Amino acid sequence: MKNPSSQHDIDLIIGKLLRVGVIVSCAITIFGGILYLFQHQGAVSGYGAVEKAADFHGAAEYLREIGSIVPRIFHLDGAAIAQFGIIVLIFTPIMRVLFSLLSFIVEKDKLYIVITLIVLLIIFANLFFGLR
Amino acid sequence: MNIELFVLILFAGAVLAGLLGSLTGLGGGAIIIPLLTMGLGVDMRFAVGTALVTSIATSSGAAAAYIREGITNTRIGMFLEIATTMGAVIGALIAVYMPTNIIALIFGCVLIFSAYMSVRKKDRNIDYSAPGDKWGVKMKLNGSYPTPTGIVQYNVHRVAGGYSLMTFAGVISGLLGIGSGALKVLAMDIAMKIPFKVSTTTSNFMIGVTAAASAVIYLQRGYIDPGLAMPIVPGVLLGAFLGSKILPRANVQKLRLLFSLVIAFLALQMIYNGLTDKI
Repeated sequence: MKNPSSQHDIDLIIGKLLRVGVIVSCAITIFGGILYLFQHQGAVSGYGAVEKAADFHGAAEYLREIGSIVPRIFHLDGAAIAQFGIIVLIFTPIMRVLFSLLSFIVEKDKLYIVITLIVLLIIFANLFFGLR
Repeated sequence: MNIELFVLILFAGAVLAGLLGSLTGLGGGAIIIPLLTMGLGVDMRFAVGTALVTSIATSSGAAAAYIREGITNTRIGMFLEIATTMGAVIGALIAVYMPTNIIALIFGCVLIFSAYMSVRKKDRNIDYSAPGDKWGVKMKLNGSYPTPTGIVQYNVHRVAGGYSLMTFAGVISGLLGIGSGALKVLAMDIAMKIPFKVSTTTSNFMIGVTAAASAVIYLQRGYIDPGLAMPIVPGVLLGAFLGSKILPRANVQKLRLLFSLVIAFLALQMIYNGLTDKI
């Protein structure tokens, strides 16, 4: 580590980023959850165990992609808002990897710039070429 | 079951899972998956998806606190994340085609192993500064960390072995949605001989990234449902927060033993259900 003070600064930023990400996503999820409870009343259904993978229906189709979740948020759809909170949560560690990349660039550590890019590539490959 | 009651049970269970998970270091998924599947009859796929999101929440929350102390080794974390994210993607892909009773069986075995690792006696007489693997130098993995008695230098050992074990840990966490901390400890403490404090904080720092890699696949497959995640994520976080407040005053040794017994019991039940096709 050539520049320990800047490394420490970046660690502090990453720590703050993680905390903010978790708090924000949690707040969104709770808000969505409260709306969800008002919009869904009665008996719980649809979670029961099924034997074959083909019989598994899973979450509603529109809750599986950010592109179809976001428009429903503006209709105050509780499930969509809660799911958006979950997506913010999923993105929190990815943001952390991006910040680590930044810190390796600042340190001019070529080896670790490459390693961090490989990690990002694996994550984003899933994101963009969704294995459906 | 009425929806309000269902949500209340999920929330209460999640608080307990977060509390016990943070006190013992076993993570919340170990309780969440049996609660959902065996307790509430929820499909294994939903349980795994929910546990996965839970592990991102607890890992990020704890990492935020740890990273400021300067113990986490970002380079070791990033290097091994290549292994865990690759493994997680493979695990999530296998999960889609694997029968749920087999997943339940594997989950049971991993839980028993985790419970054992949690109570096992740790070898405290390791010389961490002994010369290590040449790959430790090449990949710049060796480091130092502050302790009350001064800075401790450490060199890592068996990098290739640790890397392979980490790939396996990634597959398991992609398959089961849990942090598989016990497997990470096996790779980092025992194979690579990384000091306990460094390995715990670094492994925790990696869990979120590993989970995020497979979470996308789970999201697209519909394994992550807001109706389940909505009470569980805040619940586990609240539990983990309470746990961190109690931790300094708790008798961790006894608690860990008790919790490990509970986990082992749940694991046996899970294996039995898997064998008899009840899950």
